[in-house]
Amino acid sequence: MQTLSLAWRNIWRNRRRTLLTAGAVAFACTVLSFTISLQQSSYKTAIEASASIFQGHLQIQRIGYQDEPKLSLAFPFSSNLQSLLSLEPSVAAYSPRVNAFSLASSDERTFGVQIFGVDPLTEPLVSSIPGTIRAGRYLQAKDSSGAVIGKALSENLKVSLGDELTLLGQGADGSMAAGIVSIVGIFSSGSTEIDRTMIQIPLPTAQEIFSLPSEINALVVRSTNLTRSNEIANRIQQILPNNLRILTWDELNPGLKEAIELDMVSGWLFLFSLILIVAFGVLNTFLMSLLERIREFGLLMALGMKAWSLIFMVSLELLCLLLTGTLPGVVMGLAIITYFSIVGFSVPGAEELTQLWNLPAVLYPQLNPLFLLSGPTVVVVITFVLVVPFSLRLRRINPVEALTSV
Amino acid sequence: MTRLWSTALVTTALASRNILRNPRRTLLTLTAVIVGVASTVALAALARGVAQQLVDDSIYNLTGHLKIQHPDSARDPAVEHTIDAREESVEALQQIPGVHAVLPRIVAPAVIRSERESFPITLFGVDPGLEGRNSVAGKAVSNGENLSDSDDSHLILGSKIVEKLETRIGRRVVVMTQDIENEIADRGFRIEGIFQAEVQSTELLFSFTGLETLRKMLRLKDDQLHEISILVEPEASLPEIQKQVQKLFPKAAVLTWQELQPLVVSMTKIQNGFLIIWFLIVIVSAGFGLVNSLLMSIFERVREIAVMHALGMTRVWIVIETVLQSFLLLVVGGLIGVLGGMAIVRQFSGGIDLSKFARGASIAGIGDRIVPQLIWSDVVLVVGLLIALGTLGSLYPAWLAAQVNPARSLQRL
Amino acid sequence: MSRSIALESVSRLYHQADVLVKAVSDVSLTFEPGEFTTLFGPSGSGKTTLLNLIGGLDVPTSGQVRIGETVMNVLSPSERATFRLNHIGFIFQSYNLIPVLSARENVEFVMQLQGVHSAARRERAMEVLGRVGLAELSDRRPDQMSGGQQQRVAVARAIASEPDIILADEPTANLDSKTAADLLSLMQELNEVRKITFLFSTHDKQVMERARRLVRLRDGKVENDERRS
Repeated sequence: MQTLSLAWRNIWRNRRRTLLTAGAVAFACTVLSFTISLQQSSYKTAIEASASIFQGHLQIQRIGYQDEPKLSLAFPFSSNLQSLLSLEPSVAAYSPRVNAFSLASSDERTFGVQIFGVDPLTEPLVSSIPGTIRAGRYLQAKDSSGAVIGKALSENLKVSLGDELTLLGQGADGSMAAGIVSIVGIFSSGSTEIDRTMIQIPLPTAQEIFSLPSEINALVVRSTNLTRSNEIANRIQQILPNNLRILTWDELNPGLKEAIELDMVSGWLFLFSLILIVAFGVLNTFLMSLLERIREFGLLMALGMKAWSLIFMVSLELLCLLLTGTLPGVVMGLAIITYFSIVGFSVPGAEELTQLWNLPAVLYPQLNPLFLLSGPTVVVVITFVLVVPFSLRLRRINPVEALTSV
Repeated sequence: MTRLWSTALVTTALASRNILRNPRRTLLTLTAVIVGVASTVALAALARGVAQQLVDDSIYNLTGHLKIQHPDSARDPAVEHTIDAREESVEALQQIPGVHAVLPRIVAPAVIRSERESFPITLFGVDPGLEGRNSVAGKAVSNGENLSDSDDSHLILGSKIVEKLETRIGRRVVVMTQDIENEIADRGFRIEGIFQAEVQSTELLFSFTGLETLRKMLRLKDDQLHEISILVEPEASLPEIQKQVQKLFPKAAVLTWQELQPLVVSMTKIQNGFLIIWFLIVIVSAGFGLVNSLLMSIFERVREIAVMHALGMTRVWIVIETVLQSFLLLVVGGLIGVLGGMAIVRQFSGGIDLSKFARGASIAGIGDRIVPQLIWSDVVLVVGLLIALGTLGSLYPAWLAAQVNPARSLQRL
Repeated sequence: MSRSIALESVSRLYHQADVLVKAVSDVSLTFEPGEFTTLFGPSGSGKTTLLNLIGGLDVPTSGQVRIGETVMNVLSPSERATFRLNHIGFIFQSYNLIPVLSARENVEFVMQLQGVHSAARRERAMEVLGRVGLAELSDRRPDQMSGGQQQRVAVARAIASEPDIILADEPTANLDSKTAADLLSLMQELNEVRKITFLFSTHDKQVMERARRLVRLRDGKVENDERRS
C-alpha cells in the first residue's frame, strides 16, 4: 500500500504532463465508451425490432425448411408440442403459422404475395403487426374468410376495407389452391418489405386453401430474454421431435447478423487505431519521465531497493496514470450516453438508413456497463502491454553510474 | 529584409535541429502522427470504396444516370404506368450532347414458376444490343448464351434464383404477370443463360428477356415503354441533360439516380460527416501527444531559451521557433502517414473480400468485394487539418516558451 | 559608439511567497565607456539583478536605467531585446551556448539576428574564434568541448556582435584557476584594445584583483565604490 501511495504521488510531480497525458486517455475513453454504447445499443434495437415485428425470437420448423421454405415441409401442431412449450419457463408465448406464396387479384390488379395463416389469438403475442392496424381491425377467431393486408400492398392492389381478393397458388400436395378473402384490416408494420408483400388470413382458412390439414410450417416463439436465445434454443431442442429444429434470430435472419458483424469489424478498425495513437502518446510521456529519474532510481537502488520492486512501483505509476484518465473518461461517456438515453439520438439525414435496418428514427441508447467499460479496458490493457516491457530496462541500472549522471 | 530573412533561416535551423535532438521522443511522437494519418487515409479509402460501389452498383443495376418513367411508377410499378415513347423522341435523346447510351425497357412485376417452386421476380424486356456493357441487363452470362436481340424469347436469370427454383439452363419455367388489359398473362420461357451479380439480391430479383417478347406478352402498343434509362459521359452535366430530356418527354418523370436512390445519397453524406468527425478525433488524440512532447522539450531547454532571449531574440521569434518544430514534425509525419495509407490501399487494391458477410452486405446493397478508393481531396483534407490544428495546438507550449523569464531562470544555477 | 551606463535611483522589488524582497534598493551608479568594473558581495546582494536591469532583461520597480541616450525601462520587451542584440553582449556562468549549434554557429547566432551577410558573418566569426584561440574547434558542438572552451566561445560570441557593453555574470565560477586567468587576460585585452565596457558580477578574487573599479553590494545597496589605478 505504501508503494501505491508513493506511486500516486510520483505521477503528480509533473502536474502539467500528467494532466495532458491523462487528458488524452480520458478523451479516447469517452469516445470509446460513447461509440461502443451507441453501436451496441443500435444493434440490440435492430435485432429486437426485426425479431418482434414478425420474425420472432425463435422459430420451430421442419429441418430443412429455413433453407428451402416449401409449403409441404410442414408438421403437426400437436397438443404434445403445445404442452411441452407451455411447461418451458423461458417461453413467454408461441404462435403457429402457415406460409405460402401465391397470386392475389383484386378487381384491377394482380400481384405475387406472401400469404401467412395465423392464429388471431396468439399472433399478437409474438408479433407487433396486429398492433399496427391503421384501418379496420385485426383478424378475429370468428373470421373464416377475413384478411389483413399491408398498406403499400393495399394501395398497389387498389383495394380497401371490405374489398375481396382472389388467391391463387399451389397447395402442399401440388394441386391448385384457390380462395377468396375479404379485407377486414390494413396494417402499417414499419417494414416496407412486409407492407408490400404480406397478407395474413386465419390459420384454419390457410390450411384449407393450401391442403395442410392441422399442419403448420412454423411455430413462432417469444422468449423471456432475447440475449439468451442460444441457451434457450439448446434447451428446447432437446425436447423436440427428431424432424423439428428450433432456430434463433440470427439463423432466421443471417443477413442481419452478418451486417452487424461487418459493422462491428469496421468499427473496431477505427477504434483500434485510436487506441494505438493514445498508447504511443502515453509511451512517450512515460519513457521520458523514466529517463529523467535515472538518478533517483539509482539512489533508491543504492539504498537497497530491488530492481523488481522498482519495476513494480513504476508499473503502479503507469496504472495510476491510466486510471486518472480512464475514470473521468468513462464518467464523461456515461454522462453523454445518459443524456442521449433520455433525449434520444438521431443522425440528421439518416432516415433512409434507419429504415433499412428497421431502426426507429430516434435511438435511445442503453446504459450498459459492458458497453461503457469494454473500450477503456482495452485502452488500459494495450497501453500497459506496450509500455511495461520498457520498464524492464530498469533492471540494467547501475546505481553508481546513475547517481553520477547529470 | 535581410534581417528578417537571416533570422528566419537561423530559426528554421534551430527548429529542425531541436527536433532531432531527442530522436526517441521525436520518433514516438512521429509514430503517433503516422499511425493516425495512415489509418485515417486507409479507412477513408475503404469508406469511399463502399460508397463508390453503391453508386456504381445502383447506376449499373438498371437505374442509369437518368431514368424516364411514368410519374406514378416509383410508387406503384404497375403495368399500366407507361410512357409514350415514339421513335423520333427516342432518337432525339441520342442526339443530346453528353448522352452515352439510351436504353428503352419494359418492366413487369411477375411470378416465376419452375416445376417445384415459385418466386416473385421483376422481368425486364430489353434490347441486348443497346444494353451491352452498360448495365447488368447486357452483362455477359456466366453460363449459357446471351439474348441475341429484342425479339429473343428466351429468359436470362440470376444464378441464385436458378438454384432456388431447382432448375437449369435449357429447362422451361412459367412466368405469370398481369397485362395491360388487366388479365393474367402466362407464358413459358426457356432458360437461355445465367448471370451473376456483385450484390446477391440482384441475382434473386432480376430477369431478362427480349423487349418485343415482353411487349407482346403484356399486349403493349408499339410506342409504349415503362422506362428509358440514360447513361451519360463522365464529364457531362447531369442537370443540364435532365432539363433537355424533360423537354422531350414533358409528361413523364425524369429522375436522376440521386433522386431514385436516396439511400445511396444519404449514405454518402453521412459518411462524409463521419469521416470528418473521425479525422478530428484522431488529430485531437495525436495532438495531446504532440503538445506533451513539445512541453517536455521546452522544459529541458529553459536555460537555453533564456540565453536566446538575452542575446536578443524577441519573444515572437521564440514562439515561431517552437511552432516551427511542431509544423515540421507534422509535415513529415503527415507525408509518411499518407504514403503508409497509400501502401495499405495498394495492398488491398484487389478488393477486400466480404464473402463471409455477403448476406449482410447485400442488405445494405454492398457486394462481395470492396475496392478501396483513394480520393485526393480526402488526403489533402486530412493532412491540411492535421497541420493546421496541430500547429494551432502547439501555440500553447510556444507561448509558455516565450514566457520564460531570463532573469529568473538564469539565476537558478 | 560608446555608451555610458547610468542608473538613477533604481529599485527592484518583488514578491516571493508572502515576503517582499528588495533585490535592489535605490541604487545610483554611473559607468563611463571603457570601464572594467566588478560588482561583488554575498549572494542575495543584488549583483545579478543589477546586471539584468542594465541588460534590459528585467525592469526596475522605480528609477531609470539609461544606456547612452536610451532609457531602457520605457522600452517594450521586444525593443529591449533588439537593443540588447545591437549593443550589449552577455556571458553567463554556464549554459551560455545553444546546444544544437556548433561553436562557429553559436558565434554567428547574434550576427544572424542582426542580419549580417553570411560571408561577412563567417569571416568575423572565424576571426574572433581565432582571437580566443579556438579556430580549430569551430565545428564542434558544446557537448564536445570543455567548460573553459565553452566560456571562450561565449566570449567570442559576445564580441563578435561588436557591442558597446559586455555584461558577465560570474563567468569564471565553473573554471579552474588557470583557465580563469587566461579568460580574464583575454577580456582585459579586449577592454583595452576595443574599448568595450566590461561589467562583472563575481566572487572570484582573481577577477577582483584585475578590476579597475570595485563596487561592493550588500542587501541591494551600494556599500562601497572604489576605483583603482
